[in-house]
Amino acid sequence: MSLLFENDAKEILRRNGIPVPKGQVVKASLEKEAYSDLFRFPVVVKALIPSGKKKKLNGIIIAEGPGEAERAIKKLIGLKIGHFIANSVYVEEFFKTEKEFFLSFFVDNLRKTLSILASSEGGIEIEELIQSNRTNIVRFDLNPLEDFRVYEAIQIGVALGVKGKALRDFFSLLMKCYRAFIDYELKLLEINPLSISPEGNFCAVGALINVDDDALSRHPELSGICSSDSDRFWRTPTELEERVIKADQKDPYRGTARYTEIEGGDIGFIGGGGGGSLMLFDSLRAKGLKPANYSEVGGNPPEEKVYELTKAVLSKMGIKGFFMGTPITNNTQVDILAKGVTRALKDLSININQFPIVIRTAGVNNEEAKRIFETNGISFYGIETTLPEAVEIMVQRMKDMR
Amino acid sequence: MAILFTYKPKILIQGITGREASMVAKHMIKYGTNIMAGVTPGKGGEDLLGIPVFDTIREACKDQKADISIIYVPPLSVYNAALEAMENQIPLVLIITERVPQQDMVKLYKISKKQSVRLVGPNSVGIINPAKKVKLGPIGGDDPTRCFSPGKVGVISRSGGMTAEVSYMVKKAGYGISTAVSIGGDSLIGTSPKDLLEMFQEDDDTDAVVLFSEPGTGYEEEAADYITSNGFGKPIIAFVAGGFVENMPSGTTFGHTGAIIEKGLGKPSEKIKQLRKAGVRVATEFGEIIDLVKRSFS
Repeated sequence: MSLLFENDAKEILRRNGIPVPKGQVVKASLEKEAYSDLFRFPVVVKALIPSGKKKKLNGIIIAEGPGEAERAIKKLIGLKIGHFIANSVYVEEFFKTEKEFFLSFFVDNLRKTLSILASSEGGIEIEELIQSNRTNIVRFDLNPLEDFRVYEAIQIGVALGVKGKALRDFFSLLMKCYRAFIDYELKLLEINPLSISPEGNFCAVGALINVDDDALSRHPELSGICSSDSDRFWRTPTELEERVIKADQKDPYRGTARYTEIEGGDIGFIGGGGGGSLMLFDSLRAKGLKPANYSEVGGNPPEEKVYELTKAVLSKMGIKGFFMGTPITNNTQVDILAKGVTRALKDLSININQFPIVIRTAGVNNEEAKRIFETNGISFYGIETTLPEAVEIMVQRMKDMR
Repeated sequence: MAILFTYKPKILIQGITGREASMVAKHMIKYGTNIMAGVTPGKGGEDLLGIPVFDTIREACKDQKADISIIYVPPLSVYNAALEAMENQIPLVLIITERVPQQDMVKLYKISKKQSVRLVGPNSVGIINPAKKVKLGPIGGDDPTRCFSPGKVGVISRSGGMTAEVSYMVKKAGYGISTAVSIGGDSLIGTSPKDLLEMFQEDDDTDAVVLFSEPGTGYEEEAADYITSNGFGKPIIAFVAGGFVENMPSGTTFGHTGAIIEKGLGKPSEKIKQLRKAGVRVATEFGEIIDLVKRSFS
């Protein structure tokens, strides 16, 4: 799931004919002249982070002149907002607002529908407003097999109390949002606030777009805006993470290898599959061990992927042991895991006598896997050992080293 | 009886000639599961391990109807393949492929409801019934008997890999499996834990259920609601993996609308709380499942 930066979300809206404020991404500072060329004051300086709730988290500052704008830019760049650090800001013209709406097109996973949620009040308190039923809300399920109709859009406008010229503008805007939502196969297109000026013009003042990574290959027009690897979108990938991403994408439809560094820690960790990895990571921590990374391998990956992943896991500074555990595999050939892992251990010249290694795996071709590990002097635990037991063995091995 | 299929089903595999699919077909046959036909456009007339391959489902089903189609085609072809299966009135469609676009799934789900087709997956490793020696998809790999013994415990798992490991825990406890279902790891799936609980509740061959869960989605909360309002009458054991995710900037953070709609659903701690409130025995550690299964039968 990739949540776009606000400037990118607004670029998509703009391309689809939805009015957005004039804006500019700023990475350090703007020349004084640039302000007079680009903007009318006041301007709004927004921290660029892939998240909503920027206003609530104090990531938005209104500036009346170039001096104030520069101070706001300096204040916001490098600031940690929620989980994110803002590397740049988005400066845009202030939109004079008479009234605010909330409008969202989204995939409702639980109900398995494409839905619209709209409210005649917008702004930062929207969640509370909607949950407490203090605002006029319209909820509408789109028929995924048919086009959204203009009359349906008009009904939504009427239900929100929009009248006259504004109603005509509103339904036309709703139809454009619908087209963008469907044409780009988005998971979320949210405008909050959708503001209307005293003159009666609509503008998407705040925008959030979530793209479906799995549909990206059908949308070359979005390339450059979003990368298809967004597991760690809260920060830029480290060098080792980049290496694994590269190895994984080299052969995108044959298995997966994922690697996320965790601050500190001294155990290199590889888990099998999503569920198994989550369980083992929790379990290692609960037993007092400190994994230095979170990793998953699965879907019957080729040896090269396993090799690159293992090398990355063991290359992080301060690693004192290696734990790999997979549930009994359904299709992953564990002899291929064994080949990738043992080759990485050899290439890194790891002295297995002073470096605790616990491998627990079972499943397709496990006899061959056992042979490969054992001929390389690595203790291998198969199906006789449960995953929790393998964790206990790792705990003991780490104790023995001290 | 078990659930989802009650007799030896007639099975199709769409995309059977692919590398993974043909390996899985081999494993299925080895286990004792018959595959009626395969479908790969452009490969009609060939055969694979003695299984006839057709260009279309229509041709494959000319002489006899299929009960189940297993979809093993690339992600962007799943929509078309599943439509073809549903157009041909196949009552159970199992999607193994992962990374299927969500809007495709919304459409498929809508059509499946219209046509009363049971859709399982995507991103499922399959379904297994050890008493009948029927395995659909890669579940259990080359030797399902390692971890799946016949018995009276139903398994529902959001993790493909852990479907086998959970069933192995049941085996370690001295019991076996009626039906184990890998429902798929995606957030938008055709069959949810609640749907399967309804089936297991009615099933005479199932005396207890084990549920393996992960962070995200509202499926456990939905299941807890169902159990509370309908009662279940059989022991349910659950494990929720991924507690640590709560303290990390999550990759599955929803936007505002998600937060509004799902009202904070998805946190492992919240799932555990809701399940326990509904009377589900939630294991704190994975290994505890063995003990909880034993106690369910004593």
